[in-house]
Amino acid sequence: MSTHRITVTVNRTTHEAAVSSRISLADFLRDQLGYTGTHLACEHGVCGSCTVVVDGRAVRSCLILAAQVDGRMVLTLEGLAESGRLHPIQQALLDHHGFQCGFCTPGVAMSLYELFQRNPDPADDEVEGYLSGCLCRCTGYGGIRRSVAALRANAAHGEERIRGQAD
Amino acid sequence: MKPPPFDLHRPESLEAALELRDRHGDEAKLLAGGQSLMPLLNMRLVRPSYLIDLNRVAELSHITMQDGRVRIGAMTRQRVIENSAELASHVPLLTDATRHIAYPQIRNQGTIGGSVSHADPAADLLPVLIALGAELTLRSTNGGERYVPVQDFLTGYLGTIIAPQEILTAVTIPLRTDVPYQYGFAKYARHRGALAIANAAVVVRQAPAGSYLAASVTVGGIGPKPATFDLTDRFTSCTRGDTAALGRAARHAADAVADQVEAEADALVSEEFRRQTCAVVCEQALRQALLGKGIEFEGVQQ
Amino acid sequence: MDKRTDQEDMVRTTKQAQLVGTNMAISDARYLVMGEGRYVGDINLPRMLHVAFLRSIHAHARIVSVDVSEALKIPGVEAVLTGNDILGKIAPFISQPQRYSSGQVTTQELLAREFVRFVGEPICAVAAVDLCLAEDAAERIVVKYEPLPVVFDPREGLAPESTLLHPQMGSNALIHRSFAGGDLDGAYARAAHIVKHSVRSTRKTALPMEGRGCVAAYRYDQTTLTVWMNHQLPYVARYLLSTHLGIRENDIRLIAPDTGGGYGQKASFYPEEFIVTYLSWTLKRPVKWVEDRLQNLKGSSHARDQFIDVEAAVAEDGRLLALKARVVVDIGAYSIYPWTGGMEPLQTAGLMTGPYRIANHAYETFGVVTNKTPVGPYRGVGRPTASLAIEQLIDAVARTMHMDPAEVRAINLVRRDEMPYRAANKLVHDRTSYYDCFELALAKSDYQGLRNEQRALLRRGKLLGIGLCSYAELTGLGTKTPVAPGTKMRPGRDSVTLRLEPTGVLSVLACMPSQGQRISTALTQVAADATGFSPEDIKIYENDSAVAPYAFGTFASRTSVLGAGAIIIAAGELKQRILNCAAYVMKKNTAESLQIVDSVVVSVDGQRLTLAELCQICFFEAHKIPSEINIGFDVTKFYDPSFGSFANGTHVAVVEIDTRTGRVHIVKYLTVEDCGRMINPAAVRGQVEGAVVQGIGEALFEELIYDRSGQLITGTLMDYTIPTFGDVPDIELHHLETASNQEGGFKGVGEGPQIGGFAAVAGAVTDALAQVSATLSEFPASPERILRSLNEAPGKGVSC
Repeated sequence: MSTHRITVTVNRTTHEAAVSSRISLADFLRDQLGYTGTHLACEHGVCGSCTVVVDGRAVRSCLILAAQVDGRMVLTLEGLAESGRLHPIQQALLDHHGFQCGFCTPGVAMSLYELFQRNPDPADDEVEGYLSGCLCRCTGYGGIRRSVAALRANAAHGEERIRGQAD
Repeated sequence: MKPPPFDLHRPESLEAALELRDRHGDEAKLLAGGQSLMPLLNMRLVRPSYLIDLNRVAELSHITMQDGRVRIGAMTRQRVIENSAELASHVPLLTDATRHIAYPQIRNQGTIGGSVSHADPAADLLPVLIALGAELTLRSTNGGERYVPVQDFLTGYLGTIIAPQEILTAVTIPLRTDVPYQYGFAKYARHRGALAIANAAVVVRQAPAGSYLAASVTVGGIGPKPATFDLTDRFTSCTRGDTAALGRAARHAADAVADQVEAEADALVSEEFRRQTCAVVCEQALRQALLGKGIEFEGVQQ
Repeated sequence: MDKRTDQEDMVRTTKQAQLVGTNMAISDARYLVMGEGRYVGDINLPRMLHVAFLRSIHAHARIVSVDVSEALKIPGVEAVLTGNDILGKIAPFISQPQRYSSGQVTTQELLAREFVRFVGEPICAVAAVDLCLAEDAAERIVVKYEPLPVVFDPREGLAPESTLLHPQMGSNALIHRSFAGGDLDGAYARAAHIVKHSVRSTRKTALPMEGRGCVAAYRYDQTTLTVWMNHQLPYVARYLLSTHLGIRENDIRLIAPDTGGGYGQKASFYPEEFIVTYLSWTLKRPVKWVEDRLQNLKGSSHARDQFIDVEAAVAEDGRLLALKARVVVDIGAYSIYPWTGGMEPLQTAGLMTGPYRIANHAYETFGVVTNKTPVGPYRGVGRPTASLAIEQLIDAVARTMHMDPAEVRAINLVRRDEMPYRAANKLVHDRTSYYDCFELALAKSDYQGLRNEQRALLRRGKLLGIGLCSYAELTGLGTKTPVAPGTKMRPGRDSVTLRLEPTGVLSVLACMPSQGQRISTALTQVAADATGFSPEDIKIYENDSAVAPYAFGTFASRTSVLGAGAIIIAAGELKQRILNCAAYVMKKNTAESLQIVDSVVVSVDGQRLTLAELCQICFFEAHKIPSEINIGFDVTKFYDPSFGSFANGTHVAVVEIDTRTGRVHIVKYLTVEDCGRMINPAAVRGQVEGAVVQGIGEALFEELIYDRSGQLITGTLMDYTIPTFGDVPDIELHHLETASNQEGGFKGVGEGPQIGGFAAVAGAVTDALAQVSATLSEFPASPERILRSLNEAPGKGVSC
């Protein structure tokens, strides 16, 4: 098994690390760097709980090898808030009960992050496209739906433009 | 579950990648987007001694228009294909079908080459590429390069004719500008974004006067690999605008295809259901092509 | 009484206002949305070992030999355990004997030693320095099996010639009970019609997004063994670890970390956590195991695998005079520990009359062992399938009698003026609103309009269906009800400690962990109202046996009831002690003129003393106050709701079936819930929506499929699918509030709506199909089953 040296920026901090060839980005973030906010619930790419943003794109961290993010910028759920201030997506999920147990939340939040980066007022179909890849067992998706509605309403009123990591 | 042990190579050029492929042959697997391979690795269903990661080989990622053809590098992300204005104007069938693949989060990583190489008969790209007459470029170290039509590349469930020393480098689609064509794509899956139980890509070519010159459907998800049916005869006597006749012809054509196609049952899906869903997606795709409806996303039939 | 609570109303209360009944913000969950949750998989300790299990690949086999020598050779592997290694060291799971006739027990050794009885059953455990190595090593273990015949179908398993899974049982029926209440013969003699129906619910699983997991750490702190286990019942877990491993109970500290869903699956007990704890105890280092999805689908409890035959004796006017049921439940290879495999068979059959007035009730029920994963309690347990059966039967009655299905239900629902109503199964229904919810549901859904629309659509060749479900759900169980029917263990002794801290803030110690329900928010609201403390000053400690007093734990829709009740009782005493001290300090003659408002003691004449000021004196300047008055600010009380209370609701589901694709589109979903006095309506909505969608999953999508050799075919989330974002409708909620006679008037709400989701959607599908004489009795009503049903209908259904 090979070992690889990587340099990766995670949530605005640059790390140098040695990773084994088979460790996934998810396990690297969680176990080696201690960013446990990203969760593993299937490891076959269906549930979405492991979703992070790499170079501006939401991806399944269970399906990417840690070695592959050498030179890249990674954003996880922990990186959304800045200086203790919640990102609008986090605030909306909190205000509108967009989570209960919190296990699928990294996937929902980071998927919405990419969605709203691309389009501050996405159509229903686009929202459904993103969130179909986020399985939730607790909420029945009602709270998630209401959180998204609030985010779109904010966008429509020009409130708090959703800003984030540069792509 | 965690993957079994393997050595990882991250070549930065096609040449280096080919050299590795040549060296390791059967003991290596190529890692493209990883959206199909990584689940298999995570479940320990495949155990390669080596992984050759192609994600650093920049020259495999491109969309090039040349000589009446569009060449798409094998490592081009599905998301890039989906969002490419160029592709949307030249091969909209490809653009529309790509939108049906899984979810955006998968398409951000998944590649066209990876999907074709994985050869899952339910993959949404396969019937489309076959319907468009796409050809694959396979390169090997000794400088050799061969061009294989997609339908000849696929041998069956997860099987292709790629040699252990070869790398799929590009997908080339001829652009027919002589006759305009209409297209349709439909997919049936249990949930949005899930793997297709059946999918269908339709290409229809019309004469300027409004009669139909050619019609074909390629259906996937049904048997070990997608199958193409020439439906021209069913539509030559139809004219554009004759909605009722076209609708009927579409229904009958779809039923006929569903009847004839080689269909497989497995523990989860019966042969009967595969044929039923095949008929549905065939008809939906034909209706889109003939009647110009927008792509329907496995919605309730209207 | 009818409160519309579908406003998104994040009200923060003002001083005097009550918090109970408001949508107080779930501030204690902020850390979760920031990614700061600490789930069991997030725990990493120095020198920690990771465990991988080798699991059986055969559904039924004798283990001939186990060779672990190759596994031990891998560097980094510290230990490999087999069944022989733990023989005599870890007590096997011997399920409780049922007090019902023929109640059998099964014995499950925590690592299979002589026999394996389901695919996925643990055989060996490997502990290594990282999980990849542990899995590599597990693969090197060589097990020789001698396959045995597989018991696949529980009905075949009942046949005398069937292979016996547990020879000492004498048959494969773990439980076989017959019951008859009332005068069946008389009812049948008076009946105008006898209507029969059958339903089959295939196997499902709870599928929490987080699987089970455990970290056991020897000498992590002063406790000898600290165990983090994402279990719903920390004290029961600690108790069982102690008794099975022979470790003194107070040498174990059990902490339930942040948990990603439970739904009952994490309320049962399994081998892995015991093995992990044993390894830490013997190796004297931290040991960790986290279940991945593949393991979860095979190794954690399944549910709802039932065959139900029902029969009603019906009077001319549609009254149900008698109900007979025969229930066969596939309970898997072992009687789930410790609740027993009797849970579903006894509940499904016993509770089938639900909110309907059926005085004469007889049943025969079987729990049959088969070579599949053991079946355990899953949200609703036996009630969802019971309601499925009774609602389908009522619809069959309606069709036979050419009556409207709602009319039949209206005639048979127990009314308010019949309460207290004693059912044939001897349960007493009181303070419920069965008929009121039903009536309101019909009104709000415009039921007549829906029927008109249904007829109009049929004329155009479209199939619309309307499903109704009214359920009665016993919540807030106390000591009068065994935790599982026929067993000895009883819940109900759930204590809460209210503790005032030196800075004047209030700690509420209640070992009632949340798996998403955010119980602590509800308890904060109750505590704030009961004590007068400001919610910002209240902290709930909900998950640690070393911190909170004994509680049975979180299951059976009870925690809000028991926790709230205990808080209210304890608060009374705590307030008295605080006010007595305050009276002394404020130089009042009595405490009667004082009250606590927003953490400040205020007197009628406007004097104020903050809790911080009071505590400063009582803790650090205690010489200033007589010790007969300053008797301390720790108050521990328990609340026993005794019998529990019925919550109820009516659900209306409207679906349209695409006759070409077999797809079901849920056009409308409406519920009227009565879960007593609501503590936090927004949280209630979350519970209702989540449970309804799980029910929808059962009705339309979810199915675990085994082949006849006992292999689980649906082994990944690609094959076992649950509702996704686009599958679910907006759910319209309405509430009635009929207070229970329990402390606070509260009831539980976690499970009831699941019953509705399953039965109402199933009923809507069969209602739609019935219009073209198509029948379907096996659920989930997948597109494939629907198309088959349409194709097999006389006249081949509708052409579209």
